[in-house]
Amino acid sequence: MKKIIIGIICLAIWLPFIATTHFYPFLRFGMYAEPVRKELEYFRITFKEKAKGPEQAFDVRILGLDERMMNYLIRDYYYQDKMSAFERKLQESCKSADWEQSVASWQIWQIHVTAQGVDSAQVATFDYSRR
Amino acid sequence: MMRRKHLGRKPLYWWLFLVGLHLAGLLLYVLYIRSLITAAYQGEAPDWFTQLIKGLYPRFFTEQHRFPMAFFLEKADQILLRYLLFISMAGGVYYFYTSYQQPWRKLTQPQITPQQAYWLRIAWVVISLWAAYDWQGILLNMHRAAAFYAPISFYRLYPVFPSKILIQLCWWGWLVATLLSLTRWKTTLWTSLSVGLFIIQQGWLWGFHKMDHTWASLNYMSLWMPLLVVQQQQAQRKEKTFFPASALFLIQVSIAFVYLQAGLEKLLVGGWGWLEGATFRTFLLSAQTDMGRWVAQHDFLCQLLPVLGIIFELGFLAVFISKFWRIIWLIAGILFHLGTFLLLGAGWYITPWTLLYIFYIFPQKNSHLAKPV
Repeated sequence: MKKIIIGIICLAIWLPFIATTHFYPFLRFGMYAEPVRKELEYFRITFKEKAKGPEQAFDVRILGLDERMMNYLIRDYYYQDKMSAFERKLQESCKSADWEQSVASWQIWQIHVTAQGVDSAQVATFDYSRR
Repeated sequence: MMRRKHLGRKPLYWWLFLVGLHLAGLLLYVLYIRSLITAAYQGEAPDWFTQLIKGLYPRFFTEQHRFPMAFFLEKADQILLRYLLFISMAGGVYYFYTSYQQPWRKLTQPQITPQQAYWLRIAWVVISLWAAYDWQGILLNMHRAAAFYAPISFYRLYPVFPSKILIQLCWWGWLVATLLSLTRWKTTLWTSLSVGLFIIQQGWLWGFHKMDHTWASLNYMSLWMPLLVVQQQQAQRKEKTFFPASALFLIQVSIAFVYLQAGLEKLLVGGWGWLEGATFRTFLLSAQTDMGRWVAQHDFLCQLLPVLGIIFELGFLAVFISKFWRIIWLIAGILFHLGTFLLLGAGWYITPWTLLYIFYIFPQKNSHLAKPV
């Protein structure tokens, strides 16, 4: 029995490597494995308090998440073309966090990093001042 | 009478049969299954194969609208290649096990005293407490972003972010179990409960689209802690001065597997291109640390550091060769993790990865590693 359990755990440790996916708590260790052919990217959220006011960085820690986690979240929603759902959940989360800042619009920025440098582009905006 | 040829303890024909079986499977894949994958992508696969894909890889029918066919064929090729790599390594280990019993025993059953086992358990408790002391607060804060919760793995059975009460119950339960695991009362039960609750809470932390590997080696080695407790207790009952702690070896080899897998992933996914300086430079620029920016300006360092990193990861099993190599590799490990923090911003000065090296440096009797350098 002991040998069977040991065998199963050892196999489980290798399973994510073979199947190229996580089977939590057994993980695939693909961090930094992807080759960077052209560029890396990450996302940032900004907001405007007034329609023509300055853009301010949104501190995602207000929602109990860190920058990297939010970056993964936005990336997944962006590439699955579900940014409306993202906006709805962002609003819901801000409400749940009792964040009392008035927001006229949200902006989502995609930042590209290459060996030559960094540039950014706005990929989504949710403007409440026009509604 | 003719004597059968053997390879290890098994007759040669047993090995030949095994190799033949895999070659036949490989042929079947190349000649038939690959074309079935192509057919499935085009919506022309036989029903049984479509059903099989639905069961094994349900995202296929969503992802096929996003990726070209080559992506899926490459994925299937990767899985096959990885399986063959794994089975070859497993065959090698089995051959070593059957052919060299004495060195196998020395390697897999390091002799330690029950007192030493207890010190290791204390070390595990301290590292676990350091790892998860703030999880209750983090999870309660995450409650604000519950709308984004996307459960992983078996958590999909309960696809709602846990209530505040459940979070508190689990964290306090884990704390009490971890502390009680150092007593003599129901030790195995408390240790198992502590490991289980540690893993359960962590699964909630990774339910926001990002899987983190910070505690991965701690998770894997923790799975063997109840076995270490059982072996220690048996030794105490039999009043043994030293006992063969196979659990300690399993802890050591599980951590080594993680490094090996991380190294193999880089070569299998990134190919040799991963070792190019441009790749590493882009990672450095993305992390935007002070030292990373400085290293990014030096071609030689951008070329050298990823090569050293791969050698370290692929060669971590060297810790089992001799005491000398164990010391070299553990020092390299400390520098490796320090480097990933200072250059890539991943981790911190102290990480559970390096703290767990204590499970390698503990004195062991009757092991080939006990010999002086």
